[in-house]
Order: sequence, then structure tokens, then C-alpha cells
Amino acid sequence: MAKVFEVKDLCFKYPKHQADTIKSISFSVDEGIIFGLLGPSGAGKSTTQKILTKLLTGYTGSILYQGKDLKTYNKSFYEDIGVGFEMPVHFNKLTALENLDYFASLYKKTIDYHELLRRVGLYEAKDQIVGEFSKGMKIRLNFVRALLNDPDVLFLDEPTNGLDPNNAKIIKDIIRELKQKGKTIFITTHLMGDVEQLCDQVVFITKGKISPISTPRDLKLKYGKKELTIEYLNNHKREKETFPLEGIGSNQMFLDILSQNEIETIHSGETSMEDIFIKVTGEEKYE
Amino acid sequence: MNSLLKLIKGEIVRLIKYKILFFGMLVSVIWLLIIAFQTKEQAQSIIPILIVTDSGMMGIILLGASFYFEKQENTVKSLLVSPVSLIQVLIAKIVSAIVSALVSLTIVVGFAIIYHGIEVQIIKLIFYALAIVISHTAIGYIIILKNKDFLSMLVVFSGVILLFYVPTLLKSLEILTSDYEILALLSPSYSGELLIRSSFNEIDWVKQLLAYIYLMVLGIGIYIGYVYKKFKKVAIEG
Repeated sequence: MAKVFEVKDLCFKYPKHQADTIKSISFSVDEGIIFGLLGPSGAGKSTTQKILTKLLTGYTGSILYQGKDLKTYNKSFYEDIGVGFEMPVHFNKLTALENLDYFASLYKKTIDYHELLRRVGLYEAKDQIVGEFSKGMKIRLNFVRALLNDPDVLFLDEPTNGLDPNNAKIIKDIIRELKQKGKTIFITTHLMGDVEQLCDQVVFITKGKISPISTPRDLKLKYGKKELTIEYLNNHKREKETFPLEGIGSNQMFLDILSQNEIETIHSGETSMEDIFIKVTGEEKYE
Repeated sequence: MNSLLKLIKGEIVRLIKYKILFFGMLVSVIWLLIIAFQTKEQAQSIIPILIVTDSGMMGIILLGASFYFEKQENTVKSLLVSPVSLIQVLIAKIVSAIVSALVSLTIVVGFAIIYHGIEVQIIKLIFYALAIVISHTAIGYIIILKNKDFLSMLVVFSGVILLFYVPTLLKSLEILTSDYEILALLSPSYSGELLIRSSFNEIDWVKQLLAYIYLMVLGIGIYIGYVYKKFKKVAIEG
């Protein structure tokens, strides 16, 4: 699979900071996948995204975009990518449509953003001043702004943070559709639900260091307990037993419980992504 | 329409929507009241100071207001991930400052011509007003980019105003004689005032040339040497 980004030994230090914010990280992002950059606040996620979107320069190490040094790209780079910031990025005294018309006018090609406004539930409010928008409306408008130029690579910083479940689902559905169309999506988030539902590959970044690339499923297998817990009623008395998953099909005690009792619940020892997040970012042993 | 024209159009639309142009014009109306109560001769001598105050000093305040609005709204970040260059973004901002200054200039000078019948060399006036806007907005950007918010910018700005108007004050008190006027040109406001005055009265062309070159070199130098390097950094890192 072709690589969209290849990052090698990337280091970055803000001028006023004593230590590096990004400490020699290396990773690559395959074309057409949803890639999650995860980690706690202040870990270096947004800094990494700002470097990849050419907002921050002065880094060391190498970054290849579509096989070419990122530094060699000029402003036309932004025809290719879309950036969705976590904070609202709109002129508050302009309407939603005036904002979109203005930013869209700067690109050579644009999507039908009226249709996208409809999809995210903002079409009725398109002539409303953005300053009057709720937080959720501003986040959805940010999302539309990021997609204005039909980008091949999309950077999304906490795209559903602050949205109600219905609107978060709409955004996640659109992200999945974009992936189906072959777009590469780079998500920076701390919301593990989004990661589990969306990401094909993930890396954790903690204090400027990065973990090896993994998948949500592999992480669950790695950090999850390979066991099964069963709750059942034995003579009207609730009981609970835990069995190792290995050889569960021939575990006589387990089979007896299943056949002789009323089963209430069965749970595998799968660890949630939240637990994995805490575990992985707490370890800080990436070198 | 190329990107630069679209950026300029956007800046001018925002000057109107954010009422920055309106407040600039409101200040001009105050100048009109001052001019109306002067004799023709008095008006002719005070107009250069008013124009420098309006195009230069007020320009800095309006530029600051616009910058801190954009910083608060994170819109510069959104612009910087669009296919436009930082030079285009800065040029658009300078042009919008020039438009705002020209609107005020038209109001003030237009009124002076109609009300007092003052004679003025219009082309020269506009040409020199551009130098004032370019130099003063560049100085304004130094103050803006070094201060986190509008209030702290205003505090520093007040000190700068005092400093820049010292030569004007010394001249009006007749402490500064013509022999030392060259030194006074170091104040961008005094240089600007001299240039504007030359649109109404005869003034030594060497002094005009010096003042004009000084303002243009100062303004362009600051834009290239400081604003260009610092603007993106402040917009991104806060």
C-alpha cells in the first residue's frame, strides 16, 4: 500500500521550551486508511499535526508526503489536504454561508457544501451569524470547512468532541464514507469510542514519544484478559465464575454451568479502549 | 479573480461587518467638528496632524482590533491551511488598512475643501498617505505581535504615541528650530505630518524626499524583517 506520510526521527522544540516537545518519532501512514494519533493532552498530538500540515516548521528529521520531502511543497499542498481544527475557526460576525463562501473561494475545486451543510444539520442555520451558533454547531461547521476542497488527506483534531451522540454519529458516518472513497484520514483524539469505531491503525503519543503502530483490535488482544466471566442462578442464588478462554469448549465445569443453570450474563475479559489508553499512556516506555 | 484579490475583498468585507470601518469613519466625523470650528489657516495647519493621527495612529488601533478578533476566532489558522501564501495574507491586510485610511482621508480633506475652500494636491496627498499607512501599520504590527491582548497593546501604544508626537510638540512650542528638523524626521509621525503638510504648503523637496524614503524603508523593512517572520508564529502558537 502506498504511503501518504513517512515520518522519520522527527524532533521539534518550541523556542521558549527547554525540552523537545516531539522526541525523535517515526511512523508512516498508509493511503486510504483512518489513522489515529492518540494520547493525553499536551502529549504532542496537535504539534505533530501542525508539523504535518506545515503550520510549524523548524523541525529536524524527515517527513515525506507522497514520497517527496514535505518542505519542497508550496501553497498548492493545501489544495490536497483539509484541516479540521478542534477550536472553532470562523469569523463570528459573518454567517455560516459567508464563512464557507469565503474559504471556498480560495480553492481551485470545491464540493457542494450546501449538501454537506444539509447532511450535518446546519442548512437551516446557514444564514445565521456564526457568533450565535452553539458549540456543537461550530464544531460541525469546522468539519464542513475542512472538507470544502474535497481533500485527499484529511486531518481532524477531536472531530466529535462536544457533539451529542446523534451528530457525532453523522460525522463518523461521513468519515467512514470518505474512507470508502479512498481518502486518507488522520484523526487526533482522546475519545476512545471514536478510535474503536473509526481507526484502522493507531499510535499513542506520550510526552513526545510514540508507540509502535497497532490496530484497535490488536491492542484489545494485547491488553485484554483472555478469560470469560459468567453469571448464573444456582437454586435462585446468583453466582459468578471466571474461566480461561483457552480450551473453553472442553472445560467441563463451564459446560455444566451452561447446561444446568439459568445464565444471566456472559462477558469476555476484553479491555475497553479507555483502559488501554490509560495503560499505554501510563507506561511511557517508547524508545 | 486570483487569491490576493479574494483575500483583499474578504478583508474589506470584514472591515464593514466588524464595524471597524464604521468606527474609523466616526472618528473622522469628530475631526470634521474640529475643522469646522477653525479658520481656514488654522484648519490648514491642523489637518496634517489629524491625517497622521487618523491614517497612522488610528490605523494601528483598528489593525490591533482586527488582529485580536482574528486571533480570538482562530481564523488566521484557517487561512494558513488554505492555498494562499503568508505574503498574500499580509498584503491583503495592508491594502484593507489603506482603504480604511483613504475613506477617512476623503472625509476629512473633502470636508476641508468644501467648507474652507482649502487647496490641496490630491495625488501627492494620496501618495504620501500610503507611506504613512505602510510605516505605521508596520510599527503597529510590532506592538501587536509583542502583546498578548488588545488592552496590553493599547498600553504600549499610548507610550509610542507620546514618543512619536514629541517632535510635533517641541515644534509647536518653538523649542525645535528648523536647524534640527532633520532629527525630528526620525519620528514616523513627524515625517508623515511633514509629507501631508507638503500637499497643502510649499516645503523643501529634500525634506519631503527624506521623509518619504524613510517611511517607506522603515515600513517595508519592518514587514520583511519582523512581521513576516513573526506573524505566522504568533497566529499558530498564540
